[in-house]
Amino acid sequence: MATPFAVHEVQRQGRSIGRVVRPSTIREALTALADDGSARPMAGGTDLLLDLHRGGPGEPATVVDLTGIDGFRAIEDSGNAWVLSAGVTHNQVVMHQELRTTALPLAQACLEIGSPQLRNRATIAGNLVTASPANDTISALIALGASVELQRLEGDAIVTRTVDVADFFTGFRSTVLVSGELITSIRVPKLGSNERGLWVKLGLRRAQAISVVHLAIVIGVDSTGSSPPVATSARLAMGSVAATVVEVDEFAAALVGHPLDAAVMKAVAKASAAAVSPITDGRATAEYRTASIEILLRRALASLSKNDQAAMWPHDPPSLSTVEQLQRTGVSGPVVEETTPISVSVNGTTITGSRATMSLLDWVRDVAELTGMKEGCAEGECGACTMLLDGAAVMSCLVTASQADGRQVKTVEGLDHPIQKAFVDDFAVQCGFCIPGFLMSGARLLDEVDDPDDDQIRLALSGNLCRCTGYYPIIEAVRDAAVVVRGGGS
Amino acid sequence: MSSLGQAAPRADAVDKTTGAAEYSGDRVPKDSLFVHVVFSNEPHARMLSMDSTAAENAEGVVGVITSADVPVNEYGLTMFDQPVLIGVESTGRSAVDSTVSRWEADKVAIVIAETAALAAAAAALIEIEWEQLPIVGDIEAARTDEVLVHSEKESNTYFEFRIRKGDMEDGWRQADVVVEGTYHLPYQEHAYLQVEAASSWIDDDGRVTVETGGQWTWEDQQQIAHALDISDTQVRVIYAAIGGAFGGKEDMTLQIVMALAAKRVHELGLSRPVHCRWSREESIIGHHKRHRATIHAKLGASADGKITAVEAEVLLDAGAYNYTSNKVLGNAHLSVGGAYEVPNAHIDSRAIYTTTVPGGAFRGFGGPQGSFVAETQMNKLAEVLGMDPVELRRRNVLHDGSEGITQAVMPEGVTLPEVLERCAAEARMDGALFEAKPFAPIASLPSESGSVKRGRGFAAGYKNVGFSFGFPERCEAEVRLFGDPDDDSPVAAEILHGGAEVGQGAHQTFRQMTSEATGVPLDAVTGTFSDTATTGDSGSVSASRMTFMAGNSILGAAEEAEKAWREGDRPAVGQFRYTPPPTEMLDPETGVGQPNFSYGYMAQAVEVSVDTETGHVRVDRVTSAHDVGRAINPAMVRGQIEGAVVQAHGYVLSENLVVTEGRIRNPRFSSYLIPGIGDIPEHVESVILELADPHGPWGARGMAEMPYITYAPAVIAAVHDATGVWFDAFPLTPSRVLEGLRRADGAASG
Repeated sequence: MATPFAVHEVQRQGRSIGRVVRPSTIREALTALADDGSARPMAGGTDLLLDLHRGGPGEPATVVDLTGIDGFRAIEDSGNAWVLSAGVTHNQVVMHQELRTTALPLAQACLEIGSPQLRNRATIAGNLVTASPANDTISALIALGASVELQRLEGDAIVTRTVDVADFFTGFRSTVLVSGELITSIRVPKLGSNERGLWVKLGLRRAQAISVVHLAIVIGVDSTGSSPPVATSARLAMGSVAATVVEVDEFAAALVGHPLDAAVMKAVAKASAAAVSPITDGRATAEYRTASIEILLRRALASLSKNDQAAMWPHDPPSLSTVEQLQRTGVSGPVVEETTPISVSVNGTTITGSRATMSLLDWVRDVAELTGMKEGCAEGECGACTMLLDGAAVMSCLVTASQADGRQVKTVEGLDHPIQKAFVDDFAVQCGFCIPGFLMSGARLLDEVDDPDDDQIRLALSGNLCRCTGYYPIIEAVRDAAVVVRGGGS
Repeated sequence: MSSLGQAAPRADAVDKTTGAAEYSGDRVPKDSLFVHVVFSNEPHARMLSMDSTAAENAEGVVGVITSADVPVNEYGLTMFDQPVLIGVESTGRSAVDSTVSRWEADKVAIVIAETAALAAAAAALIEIEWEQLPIVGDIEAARTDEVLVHSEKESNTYFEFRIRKGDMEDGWRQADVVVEGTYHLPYQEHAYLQVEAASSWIDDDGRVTVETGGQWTWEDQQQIAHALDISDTQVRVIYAAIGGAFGGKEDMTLQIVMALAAKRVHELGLSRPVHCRWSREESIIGHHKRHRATIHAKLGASADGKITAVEAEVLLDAGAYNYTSNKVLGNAHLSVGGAYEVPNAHIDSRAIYTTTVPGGAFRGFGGPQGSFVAETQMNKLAEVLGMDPVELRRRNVLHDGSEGITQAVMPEGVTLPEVLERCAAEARMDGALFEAKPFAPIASLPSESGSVKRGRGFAAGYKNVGFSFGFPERCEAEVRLFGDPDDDSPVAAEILHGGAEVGQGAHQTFRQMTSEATGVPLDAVTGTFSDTATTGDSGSVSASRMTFMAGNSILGAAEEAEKAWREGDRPAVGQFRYTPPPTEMLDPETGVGQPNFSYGYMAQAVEVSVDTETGHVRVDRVTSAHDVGRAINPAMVRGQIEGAVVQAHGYVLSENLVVTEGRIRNPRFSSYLIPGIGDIPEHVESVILELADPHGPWGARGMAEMPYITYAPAVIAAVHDATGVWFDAFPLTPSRVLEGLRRADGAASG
């Protein structure tokens, strides 16, 4: 049997970006999408750029960059609910104290997505639109009873509809969105005074891990009477166990009306685990998933019964950004094509050049000719490309150069920070390839917290991989640099 | 002040913290053309025809190189069994059948174009007709020999070692207890952060010049010269900064193809360099791995814990081509009996071709597979005997004067007894476990103390320093001393050395040793490194050999330079080629021989917490004890210990390369999980002993592989101590752990 040559999957050329449309209003964005049915909306870009790269060959894509839309990053308190604009990033949620208290499961999910650099770019709306059953925020949003506002153009009219997140998904990686339609906001009801919620992830690594199982629970309790309290309502959503994130009705059926005692919690966990039929994949077997779901549920219910569901929230988790930096709207303006020049302030020097449809990393290396930041994976896993974009740490392999137009970028070449000497003195440098990325994350951490504890250091550097040192001297170097930053010697 | 024993900051570290250090992927020459290396994408198929016309005529394409363009279409570090390019046309000057693709990453063409994207686009236009051949996907399939991976060989089992020592019947007769097991060892991907990249051109002297990252410039030069059929003086290999290697850059990836590309561009009358940089996925698909292995072993001992017999069969999945599999096999062969006195042994070790990714060098080089089995067998024996695992080792451990498994007396300086005791003492093996903070594997849920069990494990071992089995071992150095004619002693020195700086700190070590050997202060010692035009043959940075070998070469060169200095030469130049005591190939029937000239010795104790409900394992504490002979730079020694421990941590716990039907299924960092900063052992205690090796420079021994080798068996023993379950296969993903615990529960209750 003879077959023609087929290019190896890893050598298949993906689609490049041909045009970046940069609207400043929803209407402009919807118009751009209506004009070109194949155009792809982009918010964080962390999924989209990989999807274009890996989706096989095709014509250069048109991308509608939504980040320049006014109010894109807004978080509004509407009384009994939070309204998150479509551009709200995971770290915006993590850093929002009130939101965290009143929508804990969502904040917990946001904190365990990817790494700080990814959380500074990736949006919750994007997590919904990608629609993978492993996407962590989905279970939280379903359990909290969240809904999304969708908009599209019909003629000149903007048509708006609202869909519960629980009804948003139609199958594996598919949703109710029609061509040209965008999520414009997400409404997240606040937990009531008698409600408790918790989100749980089982992964194969402490950070940068795709979920083996994730689940969110929201229950109402009547704690006026006897102890333990009685469940008055209950909602459980679970991910990575089916083609979509699923809501498990058996959970409510088994729990509501019963006290949160050990026997009930055990029975509820068992009944709920029995209600799903997970599959075996590269991360875990079906048997393991089934077994662990029961364990996770039992532990989660125990935590809720004690009302200590926020106990494990780390103190002041670093974001490698500030609230102001994250709230800042992105770039709007004329369409960017390959030949369109952009101007970026790189380490304080304005660089003007074309080819802004490539990644910021490639642009800085090829156009700005600064090769200090490295490509280690080109998928946002290793952190070797970590740059500061308007002060926030990002994976520059997953940001388009167009998104840095008119903005400030900092690379290791522009870093002048005590952490560099600390890395040298503490032998944190071996092959050195990952080090520029670590330095950017580490220096950014010390801007945020000048006396980080080990948990904060590990969280801040959780998006950076090193294969030589085992990380121990890197942690020491960050600690030592902190002493210098605080003025404790050099 | 002596330059030895100083934690002197590395000279290369500053540039690596400012972005100034340039790796081969950063050095894209101006006016460069770009190369795309085309993978066959066929784990096993015979090429019937190939037409690259459309690719040659595609936009921006300068040339397409195919098999007919390779003068001698073969390469391989220890045997020429691999075509540079698969193709039907050939110069007829290689014995290797180049028409068969045996690996998904076999190369079929080299496309040279104006941009990398145009080169890749053109590659898709190549037309090839394949005849599919059956996949030989694993050791089991290969051993039947129903399908031969290399048709010119009689069997897929192409390389064997034996040991026939003593009288096995006698050994089993004396055994009061016998422990037997079959172990499955996984692949491991190197995951160096810098992927392969290279530039090449014809230099001003007409030499085919390749600038890249590797582990042995001289070997790269030889391999290029052989394939291009030119003399080695017509080839120049230069290393830029290298972003990690760990054995994964010891074999050829881009070296030969980039030399061919530079030559082609030159022949076209263009004076333009060429550049290529692989993606992470291309790197993982396109370079070798730590060998997958199946090992069966049987260990007999008397009731008082003396080993009476060892029987073992080691099967290494060599993949499609040998690479260094025959040598890796030798190391697994030597280590599978353990670092113990074994009176009777019967060991067969076999390397087996399959149509999968080749196995090759990776930190430990066969030692991890062999030692895992040896040490797990010993730990099981300790359990059966009810004996303390340290005491069991004490009763069997090799010491000076012991006969090794190959019936030769161990090279002088056997210090495992001391290392063992020191490790046991530092780890408080006689006392209670160290305190550990609560283990909460689920970030948002508190620790469930009732389900967490703790335990500890121990392992010890040895690993050769330097090339084994009679392979020509040598190392060259040149030292230059500077000063005025009337200076009594030199004011500055330069070391010229080929040894590669892959991250381990070799060049810093060279400078410190040069300072010590010449008396020139460290800050006045400069270096010129890793360029075949200016530096000699160093041998590879592998086998934990470079400190030992380079140190001796530097000592010799410094002595020569000193002579020239006294004779008034300015600069005074000394060159030296060090050759260590000779080694031997093992007898093919009995395994008798002296395979090595030096060893490093190590012991590790590990404490773990296991969540028995979720299957998560956390390593709480590692005590890693090593006789390094002399710590030239203690901070860098510690760096090697910690780095090796964490690499081994990934091997035993999380790194799970999935290979089915001859294809790697998870060639990405998002699906192949190396440890992140949140996953590492809570505490690593590095214990450094300095017991001189008689031949080591200032007594130094090699040490960079050793902390890797004993870690997996120590973790497995600790998990057993915690849970009562032995795991004979890993990585210990939560799935595997829970399955093991449940199976044991079922067995106990059923």
